[in-house]
Amino acid sequence: MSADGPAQATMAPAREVVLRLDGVAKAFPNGVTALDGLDMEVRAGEFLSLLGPSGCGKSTALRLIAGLSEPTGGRIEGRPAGGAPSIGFVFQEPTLMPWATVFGNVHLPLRLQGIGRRQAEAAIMEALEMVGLGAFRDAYPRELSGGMKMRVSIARALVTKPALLLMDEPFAALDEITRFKLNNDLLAVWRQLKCTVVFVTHSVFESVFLSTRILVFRARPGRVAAEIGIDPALPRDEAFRTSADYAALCRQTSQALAAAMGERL
Amino acid sequence: MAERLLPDGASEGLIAPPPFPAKPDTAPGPAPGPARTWLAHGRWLLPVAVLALAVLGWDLVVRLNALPPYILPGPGLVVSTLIKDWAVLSGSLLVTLRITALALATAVIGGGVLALVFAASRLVELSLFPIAVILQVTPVVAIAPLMLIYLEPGTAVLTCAFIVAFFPILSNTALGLNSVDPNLQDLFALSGASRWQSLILLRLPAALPYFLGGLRIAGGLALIGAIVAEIAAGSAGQGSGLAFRVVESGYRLNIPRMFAALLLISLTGILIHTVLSLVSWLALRRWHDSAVTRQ
Repeated sequence: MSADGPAQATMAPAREVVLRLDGVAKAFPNGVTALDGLDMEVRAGEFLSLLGPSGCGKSTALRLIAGLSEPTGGRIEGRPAGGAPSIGFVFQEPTLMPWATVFGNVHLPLRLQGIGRRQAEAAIMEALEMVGLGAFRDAYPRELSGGMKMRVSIARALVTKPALLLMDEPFAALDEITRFKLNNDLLAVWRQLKCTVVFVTHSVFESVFLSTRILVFRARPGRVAAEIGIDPALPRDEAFRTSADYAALCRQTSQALAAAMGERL
Repeated sequence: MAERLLPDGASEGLIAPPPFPAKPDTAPGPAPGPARTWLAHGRWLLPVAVLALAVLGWDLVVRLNALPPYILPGPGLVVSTLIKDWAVLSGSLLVTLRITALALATAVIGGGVLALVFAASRLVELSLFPIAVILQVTPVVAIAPLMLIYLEPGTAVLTCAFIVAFFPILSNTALGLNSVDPNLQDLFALSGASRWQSLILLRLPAALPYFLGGLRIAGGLALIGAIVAEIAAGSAGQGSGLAFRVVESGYRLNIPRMFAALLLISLTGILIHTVLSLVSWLALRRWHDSAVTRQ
């Protein structure tokens, strides 16, 4: 990541837009309108967080971006057609196949493209090393801790070297220590792979620590209420977690979130 | 141990070190103290001791009351009859084993294939499942005489055994094929998996524990079906399995042989249960919670 200048409230939209949602609506057959009039864009190489309270439609937005469901209104431009090779998806739960080893689980996206075990081995081991689990290739998911399962899940999403990594509250179920650790590792992976990340979370602190841009969602119907840019040049390390910059950004984001939730009442 | 196995990236400063406890979190269970080892042995010792006491009690009742063998033979006489009549009984045992195995095999194929068809087509499931239920809830004893009219006695017995063994396989496998983690289904869809790939790599493995559960029930039921149908066939059963020996011994008031045949039927059931449990354990021991012993 190159330095873009000092911390600023809104990041200059210098990056190329890779994906655009234009007035997108999603209503479910049971009558719930999850999203209505959602406008947002995803820019190349950014770490974008979708922040909002439970039930604000941020996960629905992520599923629409992934192509796992179709909007009932509006348009989505730039959605990768190829599926897994170009999109990596990490679910809230690790979502591993319990009958397959760590190796087998990470192999899956390649296997579904017809790439055999031997051919895929280098890519699988690279993805596993990236999340620090190279030594656990032959372990079964039930033998791993919650944090390690999530790492396997991330390795599986990375194995196809996707341009776009979609993450749906991946660390919500983990304890804080594990979560901080995975936050650091995720940032390292993001810098190394130079991919675009869309990260759904309901944690203000997590979104500020990770993101280069945060979209604050309001609920019923879900849409973007505020946008906060965060200087990508800020060092994201343990010192940052306790810095005044971080505290100020968290306060700003919390206020934006409170305002977004207040509108609803 | 795993701390030494740092990823290569760590030395390049790109990646943070591996997860904090870099070892599987197999929760340390209670230490194998005396109470635990006693329990482990107790699992075997207790039922064996109770069974031995029951046999001893049986023997005492026969001796103390001087019961004649045609009322109640003692356990010793039953065993000696088993050995003496082994030529007759072993033949019947083979017949019963053959019918049971054949019924179970056809039930596995039939139930498995039908479950796959059900999983592929909701329409077929809706139209055929009630018929399968009707077959299941009608007692096989009631169907057997009809079968004996239409079919050869051997085929009729096999059909009855198949009918009772078939349903648990069908319903369990169908349930398993539909019990796939929806997130994994999304992942497969996202990865562009074909229907065939989803079936082989996702739905079949997900259904395996359910299928094996059904198989264990079906194994016991296949034997019950074979025995019941043969009893219904009565003297028409020239196939002469173990159930025929029971009926025949009853007519001849050869009660010791009746008991010996009964013993063989029980042992056959235990054998089937043990073999199928072993198969299930072998298939699931690495990954399924039901087969993994917690330490």
